[in-house]
Amino acid sequence: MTIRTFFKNVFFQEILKALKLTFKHSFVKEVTLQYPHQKLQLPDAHRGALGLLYYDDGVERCVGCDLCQAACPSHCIRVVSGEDQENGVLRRFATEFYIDMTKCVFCGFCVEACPVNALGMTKLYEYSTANKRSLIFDKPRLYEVGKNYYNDAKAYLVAHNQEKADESAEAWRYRFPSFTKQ
Amino acid sequence: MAESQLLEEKKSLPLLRTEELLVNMGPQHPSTHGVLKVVLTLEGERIIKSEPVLGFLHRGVEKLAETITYHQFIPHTDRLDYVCAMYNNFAYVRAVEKLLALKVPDRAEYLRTIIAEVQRIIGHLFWLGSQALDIGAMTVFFYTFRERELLLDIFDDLCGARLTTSWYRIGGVERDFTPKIIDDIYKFVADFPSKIDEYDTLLVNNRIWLARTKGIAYISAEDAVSFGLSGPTLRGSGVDYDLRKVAPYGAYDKVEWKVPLGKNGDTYDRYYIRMEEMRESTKIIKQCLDQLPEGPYLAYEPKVVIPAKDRVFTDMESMIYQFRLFTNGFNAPPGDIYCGTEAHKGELGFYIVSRGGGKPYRLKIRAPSFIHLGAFDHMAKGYMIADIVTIFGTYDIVMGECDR
Repeated sequence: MTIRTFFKNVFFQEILKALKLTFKHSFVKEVTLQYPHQKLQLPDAHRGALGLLYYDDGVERCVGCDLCQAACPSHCIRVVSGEDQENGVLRRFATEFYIDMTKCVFCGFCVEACPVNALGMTKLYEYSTANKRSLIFDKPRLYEVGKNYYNDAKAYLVAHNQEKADESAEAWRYRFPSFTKQ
Repeated sequence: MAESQLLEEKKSLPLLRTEELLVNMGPQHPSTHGVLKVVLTLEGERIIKSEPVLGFLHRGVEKLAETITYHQFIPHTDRLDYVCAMYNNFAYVRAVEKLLALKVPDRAEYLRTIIAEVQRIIGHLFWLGSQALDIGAMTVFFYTFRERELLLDIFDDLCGARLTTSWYRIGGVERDFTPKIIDDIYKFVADFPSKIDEYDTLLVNNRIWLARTKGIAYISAEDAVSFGLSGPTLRGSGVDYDLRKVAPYGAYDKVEWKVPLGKNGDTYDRYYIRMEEMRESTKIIKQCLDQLPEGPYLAYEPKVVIPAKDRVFTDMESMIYQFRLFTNGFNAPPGDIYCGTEAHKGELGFYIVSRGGGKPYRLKIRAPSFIHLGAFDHMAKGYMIADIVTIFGTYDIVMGECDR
């Protein structure tokens, strides 16, 4: 053993080296957030709670085709579809729409499946509750989420290539006979 | 009298009573990385037999796969090895693509490779942090998780989730890189090698840590091969076997990198390999980003791949396929295939038996954690009971994948 290694061993050089490193880190900018007071800026692509959307003219987008129900890998969506005829135009819609948020895996497949982009994922993640039953979102609740977080849902659809950001994206909708209330 | 007989017997025994002791470790032990139970037979402090008891996290994923379409199973693969969801997705979609003989666009291959390597870094960081924490070095855990967080933020930006990603699709990927993601990855790759040196400073000179890893959980090359080990656990024993080199997929054959090998087959060598693999991964990511070709990120195969949304809106044919694919799935050809992918733990394989139709007839997952636990008794024999945590850690076990 040389004198050099002897001194290294006696003075615990490796511990001193490590302490030097950790001491340096006490001056580095902190990376943690104090959660309830500070909140993370979520990206547009974030997959949060689901919401149902309206068109700009206030008509429900959902046509009750059940495709989200078929696409869901965890079978958490249930749609009951109905139709009525007003002003000679046949209109289809979902009379009931349930998403069981206790089962949902947030994969976004329902949004991908929807042929009219009625579903959107929002940045809502704080909906914990003491009552488990209230986590089964029904149609009014889903439309409420969609209304309150419309911009998030829109940004999600754009980020995941489901809808275009510009006005031309609206054009396709008016190729179908539009239903307007009179 | 029976009582006096017993007394006689007791007197004839030696003063110090020695016998084997049975210890149940887990499933609630914090160092077993999940819900693994091990029945240890001890002689003094030496382990003479250890028997892993599995199945506490069994969710029947393989059976579940038989009831849903190929496409719908992608989110379920996230939950196998929940610290490395991307690689599970990758392994699964690769298996399905092999079944369908589907060609993936060039850009998609590069995107897949980049994200797979990012996921490998996350996996190794997670392993390093928890392994050091198990042994008693706490600081490394904080540092590795800081870097892991940066990468998870990139995932959040990319696909909208940090852990349950579901970004890979059969025939490509779900979403292209945005310029911000490319910048973030470049920035991370430039920074990361210096961070690896930091972990090295904390661990590799530390004589306590060295004493607890060198020579622990030894396995010879022949034994490692015959137990079917793979990944760093196998390469630690000096066997040059990496599926990325042996059977290249993605863009691994288009970039330059090498397979790090160990010599002694102990925990320290596996640590060395994982550190080197992280360095190699940063090289692969950098080269892939430099070479990233233009083009589509999802194959155009109307009968198999889900059509793009703008096409669904304007094209009746695509709309019909959209409905067909989401309700019945594509019609897979009958046959059975096995496809192995080099995940950061080892070879993650999917074996699919198809009898036609949209659902697999049988789907078997070859999980590296499960195979590695087969060698547990062999590798733990003769070591002290304090080393058992190191031996757990050396495989990088995740029970979600092990019990499935």
